[in-house]
Amino acid sequence: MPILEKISQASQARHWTDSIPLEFHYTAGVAGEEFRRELKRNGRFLASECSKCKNSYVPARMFCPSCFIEMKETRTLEEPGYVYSYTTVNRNRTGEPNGPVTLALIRFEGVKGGIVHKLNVSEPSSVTFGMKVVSILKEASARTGALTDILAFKPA
Amino acid sequence: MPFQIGIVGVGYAGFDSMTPGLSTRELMFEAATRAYEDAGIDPRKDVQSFVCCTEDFWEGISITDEYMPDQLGAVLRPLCTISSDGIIGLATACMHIMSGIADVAVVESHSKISDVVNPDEIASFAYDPVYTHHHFDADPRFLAGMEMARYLKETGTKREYCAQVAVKNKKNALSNPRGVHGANIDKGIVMNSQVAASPLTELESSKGIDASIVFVLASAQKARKLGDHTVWIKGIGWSSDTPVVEDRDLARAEYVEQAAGRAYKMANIRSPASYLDLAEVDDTYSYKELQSLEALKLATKGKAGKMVDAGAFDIDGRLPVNASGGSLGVGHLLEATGLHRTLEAVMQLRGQAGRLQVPSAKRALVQSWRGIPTATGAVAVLGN
Ligand SMILES: [Zn+2]
Repeated sequence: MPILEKISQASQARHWTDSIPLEFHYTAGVAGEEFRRELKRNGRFLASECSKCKNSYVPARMFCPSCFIEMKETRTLEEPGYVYSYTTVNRNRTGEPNGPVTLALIRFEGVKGGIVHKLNVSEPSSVTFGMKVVSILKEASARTGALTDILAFKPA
Repeated sequence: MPFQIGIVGVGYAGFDSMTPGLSTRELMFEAATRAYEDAGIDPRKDVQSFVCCTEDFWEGISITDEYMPDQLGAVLRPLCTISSDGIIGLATACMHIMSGIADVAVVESHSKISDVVNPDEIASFAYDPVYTHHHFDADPRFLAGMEMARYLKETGTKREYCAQVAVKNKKNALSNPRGVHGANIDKGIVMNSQVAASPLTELESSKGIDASIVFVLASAQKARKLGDHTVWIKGIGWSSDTPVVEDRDLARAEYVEQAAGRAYKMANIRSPASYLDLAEVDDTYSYKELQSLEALKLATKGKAGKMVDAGAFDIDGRLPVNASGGSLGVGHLLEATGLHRTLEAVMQLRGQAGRLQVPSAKRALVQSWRGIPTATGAVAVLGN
């Protein structure tokens, strides 16, 4: 039997509003900790290297996604990186107008993975695939090792 | 023996931009009532497995699965929730039937997106909390913009072909009673609408709507006893690429290639483009339809755009794609999106698609994607 008596007046359609307060600690982990330390101390990006497939991945991580083995070797990356793809958005993460903000997936020669971040350009249309870019970091004394230590990337 | 699970009943409720008169559970109750009527079954006696596809964040409640039984007739019955797209729910029900746990299984999924106050923020929270989420503040569709840009570059597809996907699907939806976002507009209007995540525009980005959809599945033996409008699942597959968005190729939908490969193999299909009469595929964003069609081998790489522009995927074209209007024309239904595509294909194979009917449709493909920022997809091959 379906619902026989339905609400037929808009004024009778009620709802109430509530929110879920959520707060978490996100553990950086073993590889994450090494990545953070390198960023904080030396302002460089750390990649992990797989002993089996010889691929490197940034940010550094514990296990190789294609071989399913632990990655024990690490290496620091040389900038500049390059723009693998990019976009311009006009809203922030809650949907409020904000922008335009140009974002790019930055990759590094010979390394898998990358970093998605803001790209500081005066004209979004000046961005091209493969464009060389470098990071803008916080002062060493202000760095905590979080990704927020990277303020943005800019054309090299 | 060929793989065969029967879809013996479908029911739905909602399909509107908001449904203020019914609670989520009432919406489900209505859809379930219709599906059980359609299948000619009593859920209190005839069903051995219930599967719901929901996610806590979209429901606004923790352990949302615990709130599913009553409105489905599933109290004190075997029920599980999987937090994934509805086609993966169908696959789960198929496994329960094949294993002998159930003869009849029910799959439900829904969207009550009009109750979600900040959907963009929920979508944003799906990004990796350590490496992708916290260091910039941007519309979560940034990943769609990057995928589209990379797809266009690597395939050499003309940008306007993506707009044509929105034109086609919104036009189809005008003939669909479930179509909330149908419109008769041209490519210029689509491309000149507000930028969502360049090059993607707002009219190329599907909008959430409310609905609940319920399927009743049965073993081949049981299905033959239940009515005369059974549509058969002949193959089904699913796949997940890495959650690390930075690792992905972005241009290709490899998860669709994998899922389709498994479904085609099960259904013993060698050349899907000539085998199928219609397809309902992912069009959460315009470029997704082209990218998916190529991954499904329904278009050669880089040619889907040209084909859509030439009308090959129109209702009267070589292979009707999203004749229903898809997500761009009907609306997006969160985890129920895959069930929506399956519903539309079932209506076609039953010959009940009204003005959208593809003449003598016998074989259909449905494909879904879990949306930003996932790379999870599922494919099912259906026949009547
Ligand atoms: Zn490896």
